[in-house]
Amino acid sequence: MLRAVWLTIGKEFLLIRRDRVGLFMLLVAPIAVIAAAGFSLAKIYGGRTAPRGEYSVAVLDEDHGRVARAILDALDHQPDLSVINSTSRRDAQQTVREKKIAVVAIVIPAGTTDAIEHGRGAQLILYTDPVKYLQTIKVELALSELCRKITAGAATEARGQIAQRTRDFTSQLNRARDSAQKAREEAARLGKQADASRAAIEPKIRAHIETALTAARDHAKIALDAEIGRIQSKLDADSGARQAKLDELKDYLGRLEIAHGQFETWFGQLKQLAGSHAADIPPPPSIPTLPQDLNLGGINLAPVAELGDARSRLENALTIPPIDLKLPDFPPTPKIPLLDIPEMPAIDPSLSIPGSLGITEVDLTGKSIGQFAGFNAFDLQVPGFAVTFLLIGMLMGVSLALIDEHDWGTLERLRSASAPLWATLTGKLLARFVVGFIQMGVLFAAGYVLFGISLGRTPAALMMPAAAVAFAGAAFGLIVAGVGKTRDAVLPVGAIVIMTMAAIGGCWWPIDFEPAWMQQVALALPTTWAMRAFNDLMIRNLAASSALIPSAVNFGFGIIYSVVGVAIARRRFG
Amino acid sequence: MNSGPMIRAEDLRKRYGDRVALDGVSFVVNAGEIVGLLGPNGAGKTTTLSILSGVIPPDSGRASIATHDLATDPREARRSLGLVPQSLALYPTLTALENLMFWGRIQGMASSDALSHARTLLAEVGLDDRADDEVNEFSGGMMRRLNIACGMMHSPAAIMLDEPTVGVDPQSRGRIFAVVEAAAQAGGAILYSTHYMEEAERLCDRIVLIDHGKIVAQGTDRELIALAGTEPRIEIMTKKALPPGWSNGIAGVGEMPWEVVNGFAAAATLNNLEQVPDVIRRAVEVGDEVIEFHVHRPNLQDAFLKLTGHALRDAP
Repeated sequence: MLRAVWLTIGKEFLLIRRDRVGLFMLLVAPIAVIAAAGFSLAKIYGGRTAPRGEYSVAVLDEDHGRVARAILDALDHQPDLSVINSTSRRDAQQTVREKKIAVVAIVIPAGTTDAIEHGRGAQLILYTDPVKYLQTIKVELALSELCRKITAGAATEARGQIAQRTRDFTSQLNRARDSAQKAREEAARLGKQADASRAAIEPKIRAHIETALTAARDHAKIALDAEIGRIQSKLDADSGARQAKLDELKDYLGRLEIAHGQFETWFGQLKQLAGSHAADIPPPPSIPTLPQDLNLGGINLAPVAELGDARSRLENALTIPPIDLKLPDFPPTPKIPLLDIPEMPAIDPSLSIPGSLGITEVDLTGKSIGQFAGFNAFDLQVPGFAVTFLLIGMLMGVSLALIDEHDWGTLERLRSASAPLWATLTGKLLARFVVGFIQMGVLFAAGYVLFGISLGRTPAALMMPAAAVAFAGAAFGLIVAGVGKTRDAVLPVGAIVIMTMAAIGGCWWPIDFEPAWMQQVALALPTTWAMRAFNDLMIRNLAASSALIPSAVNFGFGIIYSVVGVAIARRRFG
Repeated sequence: MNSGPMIRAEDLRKRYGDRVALDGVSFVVNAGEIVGLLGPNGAGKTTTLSILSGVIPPDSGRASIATHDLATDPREARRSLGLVPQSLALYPTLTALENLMFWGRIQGMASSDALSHARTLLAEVGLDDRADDEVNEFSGGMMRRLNIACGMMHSPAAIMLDEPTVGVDPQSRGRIFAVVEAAAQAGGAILYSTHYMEEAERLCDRIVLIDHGKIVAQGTDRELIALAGTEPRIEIMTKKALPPGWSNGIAGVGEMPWEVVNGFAAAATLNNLEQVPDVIRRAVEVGDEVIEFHVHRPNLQDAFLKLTGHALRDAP
């Protein structure tokens, strides 16, 4: 019987390989749908669909201050945003609501920077398009975060400045305190040093003065002697010269006196001669007479003898009596009073600038993933649509293949041969299971290559839920085949079942979008458990063990479906 | 060659709800023998073949293939059987060779044996040049031929063909006949289900007439015709209408009630075909001129009609 199973598997693979439409539905169609859904819905999950500038934001800067620059700079560095500069509020509104080229317009009112810097609040103005609700929320989130960062940055800067100034002030106080202490110590040291110096310097000063005085006296004596000698010589020379001149004068005066007498005589004669005109003759000039007491002879210009006496008297005067040196006391060392420099009081925390409350998203492994990081929408769409198309392949594949075999008559021929129904069913299930498993692998590989999906910590672990849901899907195909009598019946039944299972099971959107009661209902579907496992492994980045229970549940579903499906198929085709 | 019964049906009974599908069907097919299972649509032919091929179980009765009881030894019974179902039990997207290989291997053939035998069979059914073409590109006749080849892949001791010539062209029909006859000559026991009387007469050594789930009669075609007691008859169209008693005086000829067409037709039963000249001569005398006549030899249709009261192709 295993031979029949094996041959059936081989035959199924041949049939699948020849079924180009089926292969298209297995591989190409899912990728196309995944691409469409992933790119379309990426914004919902915070993922990116373009490397830059996914959203355009109009900005009107009326502030032109630091805050405005910070906002513009931050917007410019937001990878999702591209900035359009507006020239007026009207232009900003038109950009959003009429031209529709920007998701929102941001107006930074004048005075924003001043308000922030002076501790007042400030409000940005947003012009939004209500139709672009999701995009607006995303931009508003980004802006809120931006505002929070700017405010937090300002607060941090203020706190930093306060802390720095406090540190500076404390440092200055400490330095002043240290300086005062050093001054006090220096003054005390100087006082002691002054006392010691004064005691040591007095005899030295005395000796020094005495030495200096002695040297001065000797020097003065030498100089005095030299000078007195020189004066003496000069005086002697001058006295000799004056004596010679005096002698000449004395001779002159003698001759003058003679001339005077002769003149008088001559003049008397003259008058006589003038006769009557004698009266007209003016009196002759008076020739002074020598003073009576002039005794030029008595003038002695001999060298002065008194200089010798003067020398001895001066030398005596240079004799220094013993010095009785009395140095005045040094003024007392000034006492530096103890400065009471108070310690820097601790800053009351309640008086500090309040901190800002931020958010840091951390994944389930504790790794920080940034704020509002979102995730790659394809991490949801690839497994979701892979499971959806897996179900299509499984349900349609198994059920339609069985109905085809029935309609073709091959099922009857198989049963007339040595291939019992269960062997045919098992072969078909296994073949479809393998195909489904390969399909999942190909779609995940395509997702990884084309859409950059995460394969989680252990990519091999993805095989576990993939195998489980492939088994459950293939087994469910037996039930559908038993319920639908013809292809025309199976197609709508299968489509309804697949769509319902996929939608409720969270293949197309996160199951948390659904109401609680629907989430409870979803627990009865293999799609729910498959997506739980894939989301745990790929998005939540959990360990491989996280997929054990969901996979076990789906294998359980598969077993139940198999039992029920075989029973129905036996009744239907047996 | 085993000349014993390769296919044996013993008192097979089958009901589907209130409807009796088979009601005590019994017959055998010996090795090298082609037995036709002849009956109108719904007579129970397919049900009989389904039971004999092990597809469905009978409510009662026994069936065996090559002495292997289908109830107690189904594996060997099925292994000895080749079924050619009425539907084209082929995989349309596989090639002819792939189909033959699959059916041969599912019956336990080794791959190499299956390949060589498949090529032989393809040549026999005239499809050797289409071995690697997908079946969905074949005509209906080609599919029928391949369908038969698939049933014969493992050289079974017993072969059952269910309406194997439905919708086929004369060329394919001839090929099918040749293949079936060759299989019989090779020692196969052939059960050939058909509602084509001509095929049964042409191909079958024996015929089992079945109607409403019951065997009406079985034997060679002559035996069946004889069993039904049918006689040759002549249908005549004359210029003037033949009055009743027009054949009086010719021994062994009996006038038959006949649907008059424009008043110029008559029919009569004959004891033997040697009476035809006398009858024609009398018709010329009485009817002025014989425009047309037709001598009808008794056949299975007549026998069936006689035995069941309704025509083979007009089963209620």
